[in-house]
Amino acid sequence: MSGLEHVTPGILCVLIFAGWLLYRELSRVKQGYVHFIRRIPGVDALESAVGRCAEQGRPVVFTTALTDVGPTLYACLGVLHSIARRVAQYKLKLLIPQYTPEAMALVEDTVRDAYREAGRSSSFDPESIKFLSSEQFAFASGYMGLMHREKAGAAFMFGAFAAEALVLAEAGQQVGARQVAASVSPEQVAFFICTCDYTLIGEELFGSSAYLSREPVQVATLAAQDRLKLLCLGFIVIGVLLATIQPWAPRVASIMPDRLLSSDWGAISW
Amino acid sequence: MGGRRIIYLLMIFAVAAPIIVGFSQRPSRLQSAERMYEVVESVRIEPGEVALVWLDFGPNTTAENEPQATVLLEHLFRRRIPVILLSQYQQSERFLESIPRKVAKRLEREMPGQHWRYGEAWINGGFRPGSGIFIQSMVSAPDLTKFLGRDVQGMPLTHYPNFASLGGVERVKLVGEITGLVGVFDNIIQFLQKDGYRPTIVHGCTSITIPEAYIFLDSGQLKGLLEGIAGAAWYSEVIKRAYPESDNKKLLVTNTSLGLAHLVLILLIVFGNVAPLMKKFRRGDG
Amino acid sequence: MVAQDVNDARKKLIRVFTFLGGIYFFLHFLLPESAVSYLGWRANHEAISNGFIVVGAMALGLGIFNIVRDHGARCVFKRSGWFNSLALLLGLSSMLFVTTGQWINGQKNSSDVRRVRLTGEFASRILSDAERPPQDRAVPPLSARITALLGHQRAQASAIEGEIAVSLGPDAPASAPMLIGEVKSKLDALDQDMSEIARVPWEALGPQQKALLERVAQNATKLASAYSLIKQANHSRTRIHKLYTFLYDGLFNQLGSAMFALLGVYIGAAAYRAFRVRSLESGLMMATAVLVMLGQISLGESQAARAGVSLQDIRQWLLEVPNSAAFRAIRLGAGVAGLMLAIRMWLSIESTSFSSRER
Repeated sequence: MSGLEHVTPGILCVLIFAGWLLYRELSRVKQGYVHFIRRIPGVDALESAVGRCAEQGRPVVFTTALTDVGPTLYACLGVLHSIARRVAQYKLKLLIPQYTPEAMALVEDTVRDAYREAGRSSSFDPESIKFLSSEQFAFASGYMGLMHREKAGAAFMFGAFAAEALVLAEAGQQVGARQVAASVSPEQVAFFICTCDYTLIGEELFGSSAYLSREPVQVATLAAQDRLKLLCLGFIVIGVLLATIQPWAPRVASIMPDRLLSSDWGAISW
Repeated sequence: MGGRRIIYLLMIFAVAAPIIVGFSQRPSRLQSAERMYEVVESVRIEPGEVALVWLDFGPNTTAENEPQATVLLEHLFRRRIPVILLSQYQQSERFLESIPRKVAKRLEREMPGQHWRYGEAWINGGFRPGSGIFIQSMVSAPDLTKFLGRDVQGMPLTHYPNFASLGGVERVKLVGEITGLVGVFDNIIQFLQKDGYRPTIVHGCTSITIPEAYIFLDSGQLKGLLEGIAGAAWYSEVIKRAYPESDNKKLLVTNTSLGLAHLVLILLIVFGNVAPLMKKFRRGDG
Repeated sequence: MVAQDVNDARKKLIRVFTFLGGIYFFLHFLLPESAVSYLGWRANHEAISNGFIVVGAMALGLGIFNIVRDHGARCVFKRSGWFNSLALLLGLSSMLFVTTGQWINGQKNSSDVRRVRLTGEFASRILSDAERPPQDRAVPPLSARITALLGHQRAQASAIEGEIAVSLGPDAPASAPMLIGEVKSKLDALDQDMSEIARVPWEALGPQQKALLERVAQNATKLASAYSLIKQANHSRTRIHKLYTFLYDGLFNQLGSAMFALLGVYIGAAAYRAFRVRSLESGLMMATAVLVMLGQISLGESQAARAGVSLQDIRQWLLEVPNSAAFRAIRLGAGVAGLMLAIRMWLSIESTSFSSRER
C-alpha cells in the first residue's frame, strides 16, 4: 500500500463532509434545536463529589496530566469550568496541578472565568494552579505529595495519561478521595477502572463538556462528531459485507472503502 | 494499611528473588516477536540504504525498552545493516550513546577480529525536537544526509561513507521505534510515509501499550512487535538459535522475575476474591 | 466604547493568527505534490517547520517563571512549607547551573574538534577549487592557501598536544593510553603529510600535490574522530561533568525509575483490592486478564500443553480480536472528536462557557 502524504479524493470528501456537518449542526442549534445527550454516570458524579467535599471541608483537585494544548485540553477545560464554578459556589479550595506550562494560561483563564460567573471573583487564587514538572514521574510524585498533604476529598483526572495514571489514582485512593477519571489514552482506562469511582472512556471526555454546560457550540460539536462516527460505522459495515462476499463476487468486493479512501488523484479517470 | 505493605513486600520479593538467585526460565513464545525477527532477517540492504531506529524512552521505561533496543540493534549489527539512531525524546540521549556501544563491544568480544565501529555500523543523530513536524520535514527532504546534517558529535554525515549519500527517505528500508511514551509511536505511523513509500515498521513497546500496538499489528501497519520484556526475551532466544554464542542470560533472568510477579498478581486476584467469601462463610457459621 | 473596540480588534487579530497558524500544514496536506513543489513549499518546508518548533520551545520559560514566582514568593514571605519551596528552587538552580556548564563544555569540545576537522575540509576545498576554479568568487593563490593550511595545522597540533597532556593526569582512566596512542598515531601521520607538503612546490596542482591533499583530508578526518574521543574522555573527568552525572544519572534517573517501579507494587495492591468478581462481566474480565498474563509467562506452559491448551494462542486471539476491536472503537471515537474540536479551534468557533470575552 502506498503512503499517505497528501489528501486523496476520498479523504477530501470526508473532510468536507465533516466541515459541513459541523456547520449544519451549529445552524440547527442556533435555530433552537435541542439535541438529546444520553446520561453519562461519571459526569453526574462530578457534582456529588464536589458536594461531598463541601460537607467534609476538603479541597478538590483537578488535573489534566500530560495533555498538551489541543482539542483534548479544550474538552477538559469545559469540564474544569463547570467544576470550578461549583467549587466557587461552595467556597472550597481548588487545586490544579499542571504538567504543561503552555496550558497554564488557558487553565487560569478558564478558572477565573468560572469564579466570575459564580460571583466570587475575589476568591480566585492564581496560586491554586501549580506547575509541578514537565517530567512525567516528577509530576506524579508532586501530585502524590499534594494529595497527601492537602487530603483532597475529590480528584478529577481528565485528559491524556500515560504510565503515571495508576500512581495518580492510587494516591487518591490512599487519601480516600472520590475519583472521576476520563482518559483519551485507552490503555490507561483499565487502571482507572480499578482505582477510580467513575471512569469516562474515550470520547465521553469530549461529550462531558457538552453534557455539563449544555452550551450550544459544544452540543453542536458533539452532534456533528456523532454523525461522523455514524459515517465511519457505515464504512465498517460496508467493508465487512464486501469482505464477506469476496469469494463469491470478487469484482464487487474489490470496491472496498479503504481503497476508495486511499486511491490518489491519478486513479480517478477524469 | 498493614495489608497493603504486605502486598508491596510480596511484589518486591517476587521481582527480586530471581535476580538475586540468578534463576532463569525459557521465555514464552511470542508470535509477534518471531514475526519481527523474520522481518529484520528478510530486509535486503543496498549500498546507501539504512535502517532508522528511534529510541524514545527515558529512565522510567529503561527496564522494558533498553533490552528491546539492545536485541534489535544486536540483530541489525549482526546483519551489518547500517543504523541511524534518532530520538524525539530528550531523555533518550544517554541511551543513544550507550546502548549501541555496549552491543558493539559484546559482539566484538564474541567474534574477535570483527569490528562494529561508530560511523560504519551506526551513527547517533541525537535528539531532534518537533516530533510530528520534524518527521514530516524529514519525509519531505530530498536528501536525508543534508537534512540530518551532523551527528551528535557535530561531525557532518558526509564524513561517514555508509551515510554520506542517503538520498530521500525511500532509502530507509526499516524503521524501528522503541518507546514507552504515548503519542510518539503515532507520529511514526502517521507521518513517516509519503506517496509511493511506506516503510517497514517494527516496534518495541512497554506492557502497558501492548493492547494499543496490536491494532497496528493486525492492520499490517506494523510488521513486528516486541511486547515488553517478554518480547525482548523471546527475540533474544530466536537470535540465540541462529547465533548460539549470543548471551541473553541477564535478559532471561529479568523475564523470569516478571513471570514470577505475574503469578503473584494472579494469586492476589484469586485471594482477593476468595478471602471475602471465606469471611462471609465464617460469619454465616458463627 | 473605545475599550470595546479594542477588545473586538484584539479578538479579530487572535482569530486571524489562529487561522494562519493552522493554514500552512492544512494546505500542505490538502494540495497535491505538484502544487506543493510549484509553490516552493517543498524547498522551504524544513525552514517553516523549524519556525513552528522554535515557537513551541518558547513555552519552556513559562514553567520556569511560574515555579520561581510561586515558590520564590513562598520563601520570601515564609509561608507554610517554605523550606520545601527553597529545596525546589535550590534543586532547579543547581541543575540549571550544572547543565549550562555541561552545555558550554560540550560546545567548546565540539568547536575544538571542528577546528581539527577543518584541516581536512580545507584541504578538500583547496583541491576542488584548484581542479574546478569557481566562477562566482575570487580564490587566493594555491601557495598562499597551502601556507594557511600549514599554519592552521600547527595551531591544532599544539592544541592536541595540550589535550594529551591533560589525559596523562593522575586520575586518567584505564582507556587513556589506548586513546592517546590512537591520537598520536593519527597526528604523526598528518604531521608527515604536512612535512611533505612543506617540501613540495605549489605553483601548480600536479598528481603528487593532488594525492597529498587527498591524504591530508582523510588523515585529518581520522585525527578528528580520535581527538573527539580523547576530548570526551577528558571531559568526563571534569568536575562539572561529575556533578552532572551525580545529579542526572545518580538522582534524576534513579528517582524516575523508582517512581515507575511503584507501578508494580500499586498494581499488586489494586489486584487484591479492586479485581473482584461481582458480576458476569467482571468475571469475564478477570478470566481474560488471567489468561493473558499466563500466556505471557512460561511458568505453567508445559502443564497447559499437556492439557491440550496453548495459552499463547489464547492470549494472541484475545489481543488480536476482542482487544483490538475495543481499542479501535475507542481510538476512532477519540479521533473523530479530536477532528471536530480541531476544526472548531482552527476556525475560532469559540464556546462562550469558558470565554466570557464574547459577553
